[in-house]
Amino acid sequence: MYPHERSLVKRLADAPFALIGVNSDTDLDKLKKRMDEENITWRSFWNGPAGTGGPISTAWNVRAWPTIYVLDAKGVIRFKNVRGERLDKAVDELLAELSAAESSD
Amino acid sequence: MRHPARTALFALAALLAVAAVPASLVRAEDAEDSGDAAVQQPAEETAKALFERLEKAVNESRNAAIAAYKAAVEKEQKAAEAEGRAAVMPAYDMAAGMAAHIAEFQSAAARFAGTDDAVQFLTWLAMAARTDEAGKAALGTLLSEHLRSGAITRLVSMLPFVGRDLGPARVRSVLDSIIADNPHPDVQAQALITRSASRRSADPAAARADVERAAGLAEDAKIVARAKGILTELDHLQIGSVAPEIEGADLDGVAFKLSDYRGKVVVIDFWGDW
Repeated sequence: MYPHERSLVKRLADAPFALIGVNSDTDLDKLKKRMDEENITWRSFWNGPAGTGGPISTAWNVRAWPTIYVLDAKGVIRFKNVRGERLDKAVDELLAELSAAESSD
Repeated sequence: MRHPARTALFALAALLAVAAVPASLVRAEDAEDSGDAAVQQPAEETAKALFERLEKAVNESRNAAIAAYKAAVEKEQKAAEAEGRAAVMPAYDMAAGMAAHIAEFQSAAARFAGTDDAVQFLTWLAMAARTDEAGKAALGTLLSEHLRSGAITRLVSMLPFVGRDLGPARVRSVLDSIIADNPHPDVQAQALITRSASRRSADPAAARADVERAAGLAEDAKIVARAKGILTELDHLQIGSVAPEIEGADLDGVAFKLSDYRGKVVVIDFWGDW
């Protein structure tokens, strides 16, 4: 997953786009070392000391990791659990939609 | 690209974790030794302590089996590399050494037969030996003697998997009778949640009603939270729904909100480094 996320974040560095994580690790020191190693630069909420049983994943009924949601600029859920090329396409489609909406304003 | 042997090992570890099927490469003689040790335990050992001890022994066997498998894979890889041939992955015997563990859980279930204390041992057997006679017998005992027990929450949560061989109609009738007759609210609530999942596509309105009833009924905070999470998913996490707000803190403790990113296309990634 990491290489694909890295390339998505890099490719869209100047676009109105954000990758937001919800991280369910419990050892933050260990995690931060791993993030340095893997060059994970995107921002994450922390799901708390209960790990996968933490409040955010419980509220969102997440039962499998990773779980992916793709939201448009209005905050509407448009895709769920798309990976790889399908994730790229989903994001590109929503960015195109956003730029069309802005130019018609 | 991932090394095929590593992939095989990950797949194995995942299989063990998901199915919770303990495995062991411990030879039968070694396992018998630990059986003798069990007999020497003081008679007053509680069911809970006994369960924990037996479960720990299973985990140790499983870890030893995985380590032995990993070593065999590495050895084969080195040999293959030295000989300039493709590596042949060794077979993994999941059932090896399990018989002794199963016998211990059976004897514990027999010792506490007819009481709530038997349930955890029977549930373990029904899971770990699901496709064997031992597992089927344990499931049979649970369904005939323990449907009104307060200790079957875990069984109920796994019933569609554990009871796969019974067929969906029988699983459904078991859940219906627990919901109707089990006097413990948390067990009833778990049965409602399990039944809901099985009819989500066939009857979404009834599935939602089950979860709502579970949320009102449950006393255990974890079951309440689980029911509320399902309701949130059904009501607010569908394609076309506005995503619920997330308010929290990042990994450096700095507070932020999902809605801070309104105006941008956002990918939310529930992840962990494992």
